[in-house]
Amino acid sequence: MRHPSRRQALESSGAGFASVALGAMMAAEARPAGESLAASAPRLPARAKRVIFLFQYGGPSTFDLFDYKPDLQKLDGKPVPASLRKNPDRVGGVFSHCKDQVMAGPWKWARHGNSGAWVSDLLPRTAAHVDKLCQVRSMVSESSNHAPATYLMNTGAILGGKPSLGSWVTYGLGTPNRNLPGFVLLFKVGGLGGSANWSNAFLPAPHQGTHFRHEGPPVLNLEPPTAMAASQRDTIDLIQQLNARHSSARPGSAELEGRIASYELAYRMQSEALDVGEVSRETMATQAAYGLHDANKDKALYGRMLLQGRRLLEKGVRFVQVYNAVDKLGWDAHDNNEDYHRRNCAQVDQPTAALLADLEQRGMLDDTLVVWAGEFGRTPMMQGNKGRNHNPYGFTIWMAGGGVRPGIIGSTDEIGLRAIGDVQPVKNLHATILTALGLNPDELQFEFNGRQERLTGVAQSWKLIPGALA
Amino acid sequence: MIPLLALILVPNAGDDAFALAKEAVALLEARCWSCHGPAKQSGGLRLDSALAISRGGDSGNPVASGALARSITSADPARLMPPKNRLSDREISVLSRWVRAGAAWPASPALALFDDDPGFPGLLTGGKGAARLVRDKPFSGAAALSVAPLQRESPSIPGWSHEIRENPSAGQYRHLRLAWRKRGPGGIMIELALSGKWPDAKSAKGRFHAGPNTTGWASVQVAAAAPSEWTPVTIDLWKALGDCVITGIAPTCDGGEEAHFDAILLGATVASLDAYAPSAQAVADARPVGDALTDPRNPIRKLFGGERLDLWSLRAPAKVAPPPGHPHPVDAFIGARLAAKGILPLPQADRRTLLRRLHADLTGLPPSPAEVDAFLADNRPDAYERLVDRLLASPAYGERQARLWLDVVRYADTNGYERDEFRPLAWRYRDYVIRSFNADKPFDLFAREQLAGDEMVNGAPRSPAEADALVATGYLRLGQHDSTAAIFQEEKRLRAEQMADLTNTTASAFLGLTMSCCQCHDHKYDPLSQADHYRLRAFFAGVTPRDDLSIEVGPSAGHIRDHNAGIDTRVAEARKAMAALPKEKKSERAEIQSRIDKLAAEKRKPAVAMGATDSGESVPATHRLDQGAHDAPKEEVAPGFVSVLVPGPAEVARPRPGTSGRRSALAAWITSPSNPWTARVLANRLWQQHFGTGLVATANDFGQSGARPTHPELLDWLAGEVVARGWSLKAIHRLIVTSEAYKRSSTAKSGAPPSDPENRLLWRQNPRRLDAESIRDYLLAASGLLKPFEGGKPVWPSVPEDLLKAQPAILEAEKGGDGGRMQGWYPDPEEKVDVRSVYLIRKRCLPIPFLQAFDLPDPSVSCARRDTTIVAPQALTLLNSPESARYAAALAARAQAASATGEGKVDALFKLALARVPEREERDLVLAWLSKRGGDQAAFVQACRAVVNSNEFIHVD
Repeated sequence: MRHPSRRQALESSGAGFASVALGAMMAAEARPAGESLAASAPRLPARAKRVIFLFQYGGPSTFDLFDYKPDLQKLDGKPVPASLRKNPDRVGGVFSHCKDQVMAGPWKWARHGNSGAWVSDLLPRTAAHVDKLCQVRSMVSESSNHAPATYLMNTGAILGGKPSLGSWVTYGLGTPNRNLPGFVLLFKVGGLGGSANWSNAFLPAPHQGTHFRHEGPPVLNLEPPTAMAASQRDTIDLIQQLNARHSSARPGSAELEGRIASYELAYRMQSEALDVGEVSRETMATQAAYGLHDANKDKALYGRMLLQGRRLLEKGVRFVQVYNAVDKLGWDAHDNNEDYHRRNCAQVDQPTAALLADLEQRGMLDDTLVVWAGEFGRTPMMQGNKGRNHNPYGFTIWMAGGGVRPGIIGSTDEIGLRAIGDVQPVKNLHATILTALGLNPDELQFEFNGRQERLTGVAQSWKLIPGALA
Repeated sequence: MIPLLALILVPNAGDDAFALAKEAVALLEARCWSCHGPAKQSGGLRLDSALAISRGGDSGNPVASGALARSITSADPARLMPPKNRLSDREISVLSRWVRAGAAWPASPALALFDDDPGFPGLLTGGKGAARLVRDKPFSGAAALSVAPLQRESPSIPGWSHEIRENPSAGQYRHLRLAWRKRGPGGIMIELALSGKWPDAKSAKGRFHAGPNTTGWASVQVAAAAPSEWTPVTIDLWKALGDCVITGIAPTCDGGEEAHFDAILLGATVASLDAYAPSAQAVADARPVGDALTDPRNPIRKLFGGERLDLWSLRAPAKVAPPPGHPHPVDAFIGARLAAKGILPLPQADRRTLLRRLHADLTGLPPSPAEVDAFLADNRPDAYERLVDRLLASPAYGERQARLWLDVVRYADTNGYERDEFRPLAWRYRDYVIRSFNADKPFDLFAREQLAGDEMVNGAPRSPAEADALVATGYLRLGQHDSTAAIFQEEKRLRAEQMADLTNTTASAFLGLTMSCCQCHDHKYDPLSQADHYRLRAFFAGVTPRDDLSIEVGPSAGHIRDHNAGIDTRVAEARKAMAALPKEKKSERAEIQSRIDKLAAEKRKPAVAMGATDSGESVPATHRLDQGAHDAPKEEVAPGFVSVLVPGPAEVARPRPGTSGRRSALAAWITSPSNPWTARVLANRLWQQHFGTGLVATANDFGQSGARPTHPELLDWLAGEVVARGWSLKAIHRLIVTSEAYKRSSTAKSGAPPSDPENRLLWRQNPRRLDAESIRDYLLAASGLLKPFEGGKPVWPSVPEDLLKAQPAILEAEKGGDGGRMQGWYPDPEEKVDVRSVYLIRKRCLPIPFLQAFDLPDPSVSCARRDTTIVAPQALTLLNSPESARYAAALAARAQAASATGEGKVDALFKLALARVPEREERDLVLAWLSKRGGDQAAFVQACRAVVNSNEFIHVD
């Protein structure tokens, strides 16, 4: 897209969060809801139609969960073997804050499913779905610090100010339900670095991530102040009468017509958005499966958000991102790794399993891509009081559904410190996700300040994660 | 420059040419040197070495010009040389043949280690110090080498393996000769690396110096003082060092400013050194390389061929005169294009529309009912011009103009990233920008202050203007900053990102160039190389962040010092008194202590600003980064402008000790009228402000992938006016808004002409929606809530609690866990928040939701033009937000107070909100609606809510 003309700009406004179907007003340009905005981008066959991204904020220790390292037990308490010592690499220091002492976890490991993949006893319910997971065990990040690494995972750049993955996806694909945002966030506590993680940046505003609150009206200002609620329709009618007079003196203005339509849409949205947030419409069995009534409040909250997420996907939301954190800590186990991981796993395990089962049971898993990832992993060396430090040099993420081929890709060294086989930078993950959605990462571009901006950076600087897509 | 002749060096004795050369030089010695030799130089001419001949005398090089040949054969006895003891015919024949054959000197050739080679500084890859070529009066050829303290060096230069022998055979040498001179005090030294190694610090073998030696390395002194003028020195290396192999060199500037070196030669014999002259090709190559349009040696021309040189913005703005036939020059340009297309422009908009448009564009505030009445009643012929002048003079002008500039420079009040701390002093830059626009500070000065204000001020500021120059350097600090980078030793990465960000923002903001494209590779479309990004970046290499720039001006700084000293004295006295009191006298002691505390609290802190100074003498090196990766440095890059136009390294002069002068050099180039971009980019931004779209639609990109100007001549003419009118923005605003084009109606009742539906030729004005801040400011102004604000710390409105709770960094702050870093949200009481939006907090990680709904740009990247989208959350915000309800209530109260009658109240509402009285049908419509809703207070508030939600309120015709 080069310098957009006014008409193009309007069209691009016309496909996001409850934005106005200007296409329909310009009859010649009308196109079905949900069709790609980046119409010029050649489309690949789409394997997935929507995404739910489960962001594990703080950085889970993935060799305590999925990437089984028997050597850790053998080396527990011992210095890092000399062969693994060479100071890594491009990113800042990780060793300097750790003890030169390998620390194993107390977990029991077992093989699961037909694939026989190892999962630790921290995630018993997720383990039941291990045959669905495509684990990438050789992810690397470019920063060992939360905000830059979180920006990277969300926007492809460690410097804030770029559009997030969800924004790119709705920009590329549009969104089927115009009464709802195309890109929704669910969290109690969002990622470090704040709104830059779900910013549309220079993409048009409809592609901005919208935070759905888990309590009360899901969208900010969705409902009028109580005193005005009763007269809302009347007020809108008066606005529209004034607008009609104003427009009749200014014929042919798509902007003015668009704004008129936007008030009707805003009015209709109230009911739709309220409805979609209403998890009480789900059966008790479903609610229970997600852990909604669990005594563990954190689990109940996460379960509620995942269930809300599924309802949003069902209603046509294109991209849902959920953060699991309930406080500033998340998975960030600088001290007492065991506690952190027991706590976080107790929170996420059951709802995650429930989501996978629920999607499968509804036939949605085939075209819904589920992504589970943190901004980085953690060190096998001990930090502080039995903690683990950030580790951007090798960590595991997984994907499921949406045309993903289950299996295990890549590997880390014998203590899980560094990715050694099939090393995957974050841009490869992004390219794989876009490709699964039928978007060509190099064609999904937007010209801003004279530069062709892409989620995956310089053209052809990425590779698909080999074997990740079916 | 003296035209030089390539001297053919005659390789071997026994050769005819060698014999001729030998005979000719012997003749010169016998018959010419007495007047043109070491003792005497008639006409400034020496003929005692090839170099001397090539440097020539008062009338140039006598061989090249033919003067030597003419003078020995002249028919004019007054010109015939030598004047006495005429040459024999045979002697004339020998010299003539020798000159015709190229005037070769009889020696095996000397080897130039350095003379004119522009690549030589690049061979010196190490050392603390800087090397560059200087072209002002070199000793030999076209350029000399300049070294700034301490040295540039390489112990093993590729291809260097020069054997030194007592009796050199072919390819071996014995003598070193070079010319040197010193700028500033201190010594000058040359250091030679032997077999890849520098001499031991204690051994003088391999070092030769003149003047003092403070390096701490032993060295042979060849002259008592470092010469201030070019002085050749010749050293018998074999005598000094014995048999050895020279592999590297370190020209050294021991103190002072610069050491210059030229014609660094190795020779088998002294005669061969005498015979040396620089080759014509090398001299030609050392000429400063010109712009790519004229010089095939230009690196951009070499890189891309001629292909990218058709970029329109590369050419200096054409000096064009407005076409005849229109009283206003702007209309002359626009009218010519419309006439050519046969398009009839729309007539002038009505006065109320003009009033509202002008207010929106110049002040970002609506006209008050009184201002509407006054303008509509003003029948003077120049009422409009008076209005323009009044608005340009109003403080609201600066606030509006500042908002647009703050977009371009990505201003925010917080750091961004994990902690997103408050920047307690950023607001001083924001206020500086507002102040500068209101004072109509010339834009070139405005640019210079932001880029290099610290280099303009020597020591403490002596005037408010100097204090402002320091505050302006806040520009260099506006990008994101990750204060946690140090925890993981990622400072280098962060620094690289910040430097790139500053480079790219500067290029976009001032030049309309997309330097971000060539961070990792050569530009894909524009004539910019990857090196260009790093050349520009190198200007900022000395930027040293400061949060303590004292901006107290002379007397006030003195007052504060005196005031605090007075307090110190009184505190000391009180302490003494306390010490004298016995411990039991508790109440007296407590009283004194409280007095001390009170006094201490009265101490005044000098005002400080957030900005930057320069690292001064030792600026960190800038390297090209492979693929832009901070940990993959390639060759070092000197500061340089865009090489397609100015390919050489920039001339950087130190304005005073302690600062490098790099940014001053950059600012001087950016604001130089010969730069084709700055004035155009500025003129275009101002145009965009008044027509919604610039003459170049992509205001931050004047490159190949940007838009072409719709009216190139008009743009060039305006750029010329910017410079001609002393870079006065107000003058350009006045020029634009007084044109017919600006004043045209925006409503085409009978549709658009088919040949220009997009209005590219400006047959009408473009209607537009107010931007986020203007919408809020209009609401505040119409409702009478708007409070004047003198500037100062940003104002924090309340935001919904759950937004705060969702931010880890804010959560931490609310629990008191941020160690005073101010990561939180600090809402001001409601009575304080109703100030113009430019003064509201801009927190990178949490935009104010009310503003964000209306396409607020992300303050992490330069925003050239606001988006205008239409999404339902805008309707939700304006309908349902608590802010909106409050504004509607205040507007209702104000309208109701204006009249006792129902009709009068509705009229007042329209006037306050829409700057007009309602038409009868509208009035009836609203009155009917009110009575249907019971006609009470609540209903009137709702009617106000409806009016401010109407399209007319947030659109400008």
